[in-house]
Amino acid sequence: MFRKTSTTGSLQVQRDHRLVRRMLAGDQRAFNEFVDEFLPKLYRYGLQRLGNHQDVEDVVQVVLATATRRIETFRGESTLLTWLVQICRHEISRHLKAAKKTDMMQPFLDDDLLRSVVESLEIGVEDNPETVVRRSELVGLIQCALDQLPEHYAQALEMKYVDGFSSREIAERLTMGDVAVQSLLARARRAFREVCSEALLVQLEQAKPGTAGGES
Amino acid sequence: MKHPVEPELPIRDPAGESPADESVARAIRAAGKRQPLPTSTREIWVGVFGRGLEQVIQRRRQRRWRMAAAACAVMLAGLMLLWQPGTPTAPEQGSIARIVARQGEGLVLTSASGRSMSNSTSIATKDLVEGAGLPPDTYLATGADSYVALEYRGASLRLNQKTQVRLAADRLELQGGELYIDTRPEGHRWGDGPETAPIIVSAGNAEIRHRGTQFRVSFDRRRLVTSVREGAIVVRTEGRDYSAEAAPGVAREISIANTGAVRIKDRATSGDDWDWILAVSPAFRLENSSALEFLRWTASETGLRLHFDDQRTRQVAAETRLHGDIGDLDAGTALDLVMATTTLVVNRGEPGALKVSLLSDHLH
Repeated sequence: MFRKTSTTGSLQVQRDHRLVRRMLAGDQRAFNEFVDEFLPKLYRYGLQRLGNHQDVEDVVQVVLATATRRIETFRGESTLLTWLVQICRHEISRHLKAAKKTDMMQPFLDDDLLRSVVESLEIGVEDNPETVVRRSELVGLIQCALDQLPEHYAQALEMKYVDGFSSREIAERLTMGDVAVQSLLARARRAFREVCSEALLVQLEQAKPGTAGGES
Repeated sequence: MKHPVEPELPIRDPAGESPADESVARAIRAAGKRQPLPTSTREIWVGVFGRGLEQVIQRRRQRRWRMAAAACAVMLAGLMLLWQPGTPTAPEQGSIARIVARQGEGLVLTSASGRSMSNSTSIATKDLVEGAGLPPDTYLATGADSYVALEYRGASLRLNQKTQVRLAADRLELQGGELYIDTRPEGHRWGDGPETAPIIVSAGNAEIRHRGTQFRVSFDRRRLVTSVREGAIVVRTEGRDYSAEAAPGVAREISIANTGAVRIKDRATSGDDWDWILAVSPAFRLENSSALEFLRWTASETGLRLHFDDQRTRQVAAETRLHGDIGDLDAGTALDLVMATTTLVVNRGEPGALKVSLLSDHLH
């Protein structure tokens, strides 16, 4: 699921490569940037895959230790998140195999899954445990999609659609101009759509009010 | 929270969002805020990642250190091959200064007679090689990217970039730029050698005298700034004396503007104002030196106070013999590498100080 998008990937890869070089030079600010940006994303990805905080804590510790051993080999051929998630996926597989557990994550672009989770999303939470689980899966998928965006894209989208801030209010918080925020939001939505893929959008389109399966 | 400007053409957020945009909005709204990383987990992971990264950084520094040493050896061998006896060199007899180290190109030397000894940018120029002696009244100018360190009447004299100075027998005439003087450099400071003779710096119509110090003098058309981080200085100008004395961990600065305004204030003993000194730090002979000597040199170069946990730590430092070569690493960088080979730990957490303690395994 974690891959670079055509619009944001190139910039992100360059930025990540610079970040790694700065960390290797002992730059404390770069280290803090890494921690603030990537640890929460790894946490959410781990939680999505393992569904259990304690397992995530253990697995990501191993992932981080592995990442430091290999960090000199990071050449900026993918984003840093993609690189970290590759290590994380490998470690999760090992963990699940050792614990004889099954992977919580189903394929992202499974049409049946999408259809059902979008329905769960649009219809609202019901008491049906299966619906609750599927809704939770969709929430995880969307949050993982947000995590793949540059952090300021994800922050802007959250402020706009979750916190309900106007673009002017977002501009104040991000110390940017109003016009720049509108531009940022447009780019962020485009990047989000690319990450989520057309398949998900079709499902969302079908589920919007006034169409079949619309919001109740 | 400032974000970089996106190098893309701006895209206006339309007042009415497209259906696809509306779907994005609804999906994000329904998903809610991303789950935050719990603080306790964050702390554990930061520790794991920080320790791992520190080891990688140390390994890289050690690799660079070895490579630098190898490169120095190759350069030295090359210079020895190029050196041809009989080529005229700067006069050794009657010299009052000696080039100890240099960085960058564009160094200009002019003899007392005004004859240019060199304006070369080539390191092969014999006049400019390290160890060359300089006669009285030599005029020395550094370029925009060059620094030079000299031994001048037993003191360590360093010139910052874009500095012009005349090395007279009885004084240094600073014509512009910035110089640093350590009157008791390594070898004199900790050994039994004699005190060096006082050095007088003149700059414009001011004269700077010192008492056993490390100090900086910066001079341009607008002002003369003198900072002392060890010992004391007196600046005499237009018949008046202004004095400043450094305190432990606190430097003192006298600034005299061309309008005659004088300001005296406290300054840091290390940091940006002093860092250029490290760019042309004379090499420390590590082989068979004690850790105590090395630590004192580092503290002297960086302007930081040395603080030992206790007497035993100091004794261990005195008894620890060091081996190898730090190449052209500056004092700050070499400190971590060298200390990693000993049972001593240096903590730089306290501002202005290097705190030395024993590794926990060796406390008892």
